Amino acid sequence: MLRFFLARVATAVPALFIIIALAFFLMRLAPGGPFDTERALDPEIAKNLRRIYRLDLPLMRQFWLYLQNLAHGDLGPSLHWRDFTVNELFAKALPVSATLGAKAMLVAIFAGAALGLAGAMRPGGIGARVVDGAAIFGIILPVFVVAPLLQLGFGLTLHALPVGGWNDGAWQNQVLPVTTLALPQIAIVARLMQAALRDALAMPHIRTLRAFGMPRYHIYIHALRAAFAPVVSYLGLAAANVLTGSVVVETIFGIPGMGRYFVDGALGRDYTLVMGTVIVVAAAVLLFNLIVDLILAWLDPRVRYESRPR
Amino acid sequence: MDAAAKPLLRVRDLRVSYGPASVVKGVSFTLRRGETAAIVGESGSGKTQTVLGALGLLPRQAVTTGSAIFEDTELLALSRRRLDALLGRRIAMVFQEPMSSLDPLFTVGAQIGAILRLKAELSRRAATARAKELLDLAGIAEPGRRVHAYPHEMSGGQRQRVAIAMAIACNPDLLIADEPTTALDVTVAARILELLAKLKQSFGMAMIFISHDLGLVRRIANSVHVMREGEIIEAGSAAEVAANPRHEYTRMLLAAMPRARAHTRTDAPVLLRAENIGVRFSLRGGLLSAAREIKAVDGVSLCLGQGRTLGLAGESGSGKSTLARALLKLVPASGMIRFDGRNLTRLDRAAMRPLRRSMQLVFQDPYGSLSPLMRVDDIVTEGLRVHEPAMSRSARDARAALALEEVLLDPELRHRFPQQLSGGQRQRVAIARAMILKPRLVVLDEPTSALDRAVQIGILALLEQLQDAHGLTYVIISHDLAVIRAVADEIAVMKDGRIIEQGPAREIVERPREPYTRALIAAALLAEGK
Repeated sequence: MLRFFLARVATAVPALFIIIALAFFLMRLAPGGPFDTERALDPEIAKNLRRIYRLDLPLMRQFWLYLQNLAHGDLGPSLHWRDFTVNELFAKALPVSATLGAKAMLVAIFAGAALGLAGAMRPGGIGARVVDGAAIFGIILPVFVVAPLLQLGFGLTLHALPVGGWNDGAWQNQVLPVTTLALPQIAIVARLMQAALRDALAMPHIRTLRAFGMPRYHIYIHALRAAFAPVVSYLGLAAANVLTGSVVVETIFGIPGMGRYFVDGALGRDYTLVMGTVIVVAAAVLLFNLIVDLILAWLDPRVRYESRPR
Repeated sequence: MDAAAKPLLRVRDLRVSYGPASVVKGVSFTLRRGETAAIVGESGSGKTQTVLGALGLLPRQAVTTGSAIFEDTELLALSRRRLDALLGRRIAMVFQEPMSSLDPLFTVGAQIGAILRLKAELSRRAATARAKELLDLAGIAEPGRRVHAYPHEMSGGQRQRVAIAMAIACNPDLLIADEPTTALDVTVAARILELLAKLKQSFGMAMIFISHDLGLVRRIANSVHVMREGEIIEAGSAAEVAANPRHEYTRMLLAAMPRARAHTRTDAPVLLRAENIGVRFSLRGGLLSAAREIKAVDGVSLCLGQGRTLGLAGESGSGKSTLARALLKLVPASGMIRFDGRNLTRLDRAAMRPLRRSMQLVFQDPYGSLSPLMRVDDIVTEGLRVHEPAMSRSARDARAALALEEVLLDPELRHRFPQQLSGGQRQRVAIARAMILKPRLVVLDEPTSALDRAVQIGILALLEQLQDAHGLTYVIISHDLAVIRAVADEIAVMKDGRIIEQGPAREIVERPREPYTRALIAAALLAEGK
């Protein structure tokens, strides 16, 4: 298992490096720069600014310096919010986004798995029909349609929940954004779970358990364990989807998370801020996939076995 | 009537239907304590459905009627709960596929232990200890270590032993074995059969043995029930049915043994010569362990004349399929291969391509080797599109029809998909796909192993017919010496990557030198029931 873990980490590190390099150079290829404004800056001032932020150095040298700073955990100064470093901006925003994302994922996993289980236990029953119907809606309705509907319903009509803002993470403020973010994932997880569990229940080793008259809960333990693999594999992708979804959700609900830095940073050519968000998001996705791989290996002894290099 | 003579299981007029389709049409039989009843029939005859129906193990859509009385209990009238209380404890089953009938995600100890805990109400500790004893009883070496193994770490025979250990865990009165040896190599199958017979004796169990092989069951069963299309068409004591079969179908099943090849061709020009062929797979080492190499094929030399058939015999893992692939240059191999006077050793993929049409391959699994997304005519003519790209659509279609006729299939079947055909029909399609290119050498990798005996004989006859008509050269791979004997001029017996014995077919079968060859012959003849 340790070897499996090390092998996965060994592939994640170069992947992260490639992402950093790609983001760095692509960003510089884009036309425009961080100090472009409506009115052209005085050439002397522009030159000074470029020198201060070391943008006048050769590109490879800039990249090398960036990597050195990164190795010390320093994401550099923001080029747009000039009084702040990227680290300072993230120190405030990252916990907000992480809370939102983690809760959405948890809701998606538990609600999705429960719905899927209900659907698989009685094929053609009410549970199955609810899963199918809800899943279709969850998948086809985009976040920017669901969010205003929820705001209208629970915020403006029922006055039950605030329509926006973060309010230092009060739970009332979290309900709607977490729900919005989780809904499509609930739908996908429920469908995956239902399909995987149905397949698992039809497997010959489940028939063996039935033939031995084993109790129902015991049969479901075996079937669930077999069904978890495809669901868990999807969770890596779900994490990435939640991260991108959060950009929209945070904007709609006016939440001070990472999402706005994504957009603002890219539009303002705030090189360091964009690099920072890319690294954080990439690291999060890689980390989540690593966790998924570990869970899969723990669930299925054959994964551990097959992953041994031949 | 004393207790010993009282029937353990009485099945009367059992019927199973799925909607309008009835698959079991009024089956009746009686099983006494300690006896073995065999239900024999080909695939689709309803033999498994009968048993699963009686035990309430069929899917919801199935409707089971009639009567199945176990001791004094009507099984069909029992609630799920009461039935579950009987299953595993008094009645246990062993299934055909040892690969899939165990849960791959749990150790075998955990799976046997679960039955002991939930069915025999043993404590966790007692269950583990008993699981080891059961593995030992089932003939697993080092049970103390193997109890922690996962199914994928075991061979097919070992897995079936685990399944048997599960079945005898609660000392059942009735053991139902559904084709328990069909998926296994012949020598392994023989040992599993011995084990079952021994355990039946020592545990005093009655057994229902389901099989397609009448020759096999008549050695172990007290009574035989021959099923066809959902009905028992002949029943009686095993000796009686075997010696004096009344029904034509039973006679067909009994005779369903490929006959030894009558004539062999000699002094044909050499078509294929291989010298010192070696195939290695390397298992790359990890941080601490050194790299290891596995010699799948090790220094094999052979020579095959035009129009002759070489039979490669051996069990799974002996390297026979790898050797065949190496001969066709489908896996990298060391050594020298000459085909039709040309040295293939140095040819790369592109240089091999024109030669490919003269060297074709037919695989074992007619279910897996045909794409379910392509129609039969597209499957059959796919090679033509590569090797004769100029051929028009209508000409290809005519060739497809001819090719199907040649393998004795209705040409109209070419508009269907493989999943609409039976196993035997599919294998004929796979053969047609190879034959349409008019090859000179055809490698047949277990071409009949997935098929019923009667279908096997048809396929073997077809192969012989095609060989006579086109002067084909065959390399036929099988674990079943009965099949090889039926078609081969020469036999090479493989074990652990080497050819341990090689010679004219008759000589090998009648005067084997190696003990391993003798074991293979004994196993093949055991299956034959002689």
